[in-house]
Amino acid sequence: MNSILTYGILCEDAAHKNFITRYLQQQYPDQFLESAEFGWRTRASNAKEVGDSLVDAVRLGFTRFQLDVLFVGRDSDATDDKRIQSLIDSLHLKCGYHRPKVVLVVPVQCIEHWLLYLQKHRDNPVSTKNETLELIRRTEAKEMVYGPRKRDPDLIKSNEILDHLDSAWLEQYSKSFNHFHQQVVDFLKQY
Amino acid sequence: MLKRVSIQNFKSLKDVTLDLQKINLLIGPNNSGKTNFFKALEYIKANYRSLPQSKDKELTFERNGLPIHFLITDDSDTPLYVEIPFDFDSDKFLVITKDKITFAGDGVVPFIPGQSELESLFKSTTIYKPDPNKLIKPGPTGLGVEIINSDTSNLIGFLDRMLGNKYRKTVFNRIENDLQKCIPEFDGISIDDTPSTDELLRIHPTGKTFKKLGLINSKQDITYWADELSEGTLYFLALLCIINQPNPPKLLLLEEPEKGIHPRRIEEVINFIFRLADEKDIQVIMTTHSPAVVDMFGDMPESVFIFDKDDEGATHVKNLQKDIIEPETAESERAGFDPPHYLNGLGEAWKVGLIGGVPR
Repeated sequence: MNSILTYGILCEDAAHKNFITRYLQQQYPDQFLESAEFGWRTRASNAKEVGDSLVDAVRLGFTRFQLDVLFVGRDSDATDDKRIQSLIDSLHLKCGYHRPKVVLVVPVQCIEHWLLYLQKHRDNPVSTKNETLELIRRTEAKEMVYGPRKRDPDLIKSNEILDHLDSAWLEQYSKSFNHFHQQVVDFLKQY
Repeated sequence: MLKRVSIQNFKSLKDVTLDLQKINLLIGPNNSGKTNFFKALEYIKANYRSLPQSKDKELTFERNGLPIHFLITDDSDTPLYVEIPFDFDSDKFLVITKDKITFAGDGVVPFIPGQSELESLFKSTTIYKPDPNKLIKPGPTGLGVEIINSDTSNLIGFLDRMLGNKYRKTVFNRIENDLQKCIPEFDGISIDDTPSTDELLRIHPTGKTFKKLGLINSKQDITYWADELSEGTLYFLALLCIINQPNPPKLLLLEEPEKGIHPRRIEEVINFIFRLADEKDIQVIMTTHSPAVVDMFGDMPESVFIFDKDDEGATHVKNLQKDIIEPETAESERAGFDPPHYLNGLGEAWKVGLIGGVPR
């Protein structure tokens, strides 16, 4: 086993990449190292590119770039469990032989909904109100996180929220985050 | 047709070899060496007369710095294999023909079979980079322009010549027909007199008469003059003129033929270039930054060359079929993985970075 695990990220935008990076740094400091070469060479910029390039990215990631683990980030753009599961199944299928070394990051609706939960928790840490924020429309959720009329993810705003990433808390409120987090936990059990 | 070009020590091209096809596509980030490859070919053209040609000719090739090596292989009846290491310190060079290797010194070289074919190939070679902005203003006419220059700035003079000369009228008609086929809203080209102004005379000091360019929409009964036309339409017209000129280049070098053209029309332009290569026996080397153009090469990965620069600034070129798909397929078979899927969406695979040729 490598003492430090080399990872790559294939995701649809900077918000995903930032979330995954910050999550790994905070939850597992000194345990993961991003492959710099995979990082600059492989970059999708939308959901379709993630799906279409997954088969080849997985193959190259575990052969040429010698990754230990690949994180694949794609917004589900849905709230319906069946649709989300179907997306997860189709992504898994594309990973084929390498599936045990691939961690899927598929938030309900979009990654900003995870940020939104964390933002609410940061702003009101004692609240135990069980709100289902995932029903908020995607554009609205992004405005609530980044501010109005922001077209691109504002990573400064996002990092202000991620400074308070409480995984244990978020797991209880977001099923899709729990799915992601459990994959990482299970993956690490192999080592 | 050029089959293989090897270049050493020309700008960023420290040591590259391209096994060329009839149509070739060069892709890679800005400043990765694609244009340097074109410039190397132009350099050969510009200095062709100085290259070793006969026993009587002395080598007078001059360039400072490192010795430049070109290796060019063509497929003419008398195949030519010439390696010319220019070393100005020693004035010595090597000539490799099909049958023998000759070492010559002091600038005197033996006869090289096949050289005339190669010379005619290079003579007409030009890097075409149409600049639609140069077509917006009126241009000089009456100068007998039959060869379009690299930025197509003499296009109005050229079209006027083709229209006015009875032996060239067929060329003009062909351009008009092709234009209508590709951009159906325009069914004619108009070249109209315009008064000469101080500004025009300053830009074209040798010009005496000037004309302006327009495209006709007969249905609407309107002529759209060049300053009312889109950059893409003007670019497309320039491309049609380049390939329909009376003596079209045998080797056509095109930089970004998709520039300013609507994505749906890009397919028409590239198909037009494919047709041209077949019908007129023209070899084409072009660059692109458009995934839509790259997509069109999914059936001919051997024609795609991927340019990248290393940390020292040297250009490396990979052939998509030979250097990427074949080795990765073999590796996948050995390991029991799925083979590469790049050709299902080649433009996307390139954009995502799976085949290289992307900026950092």
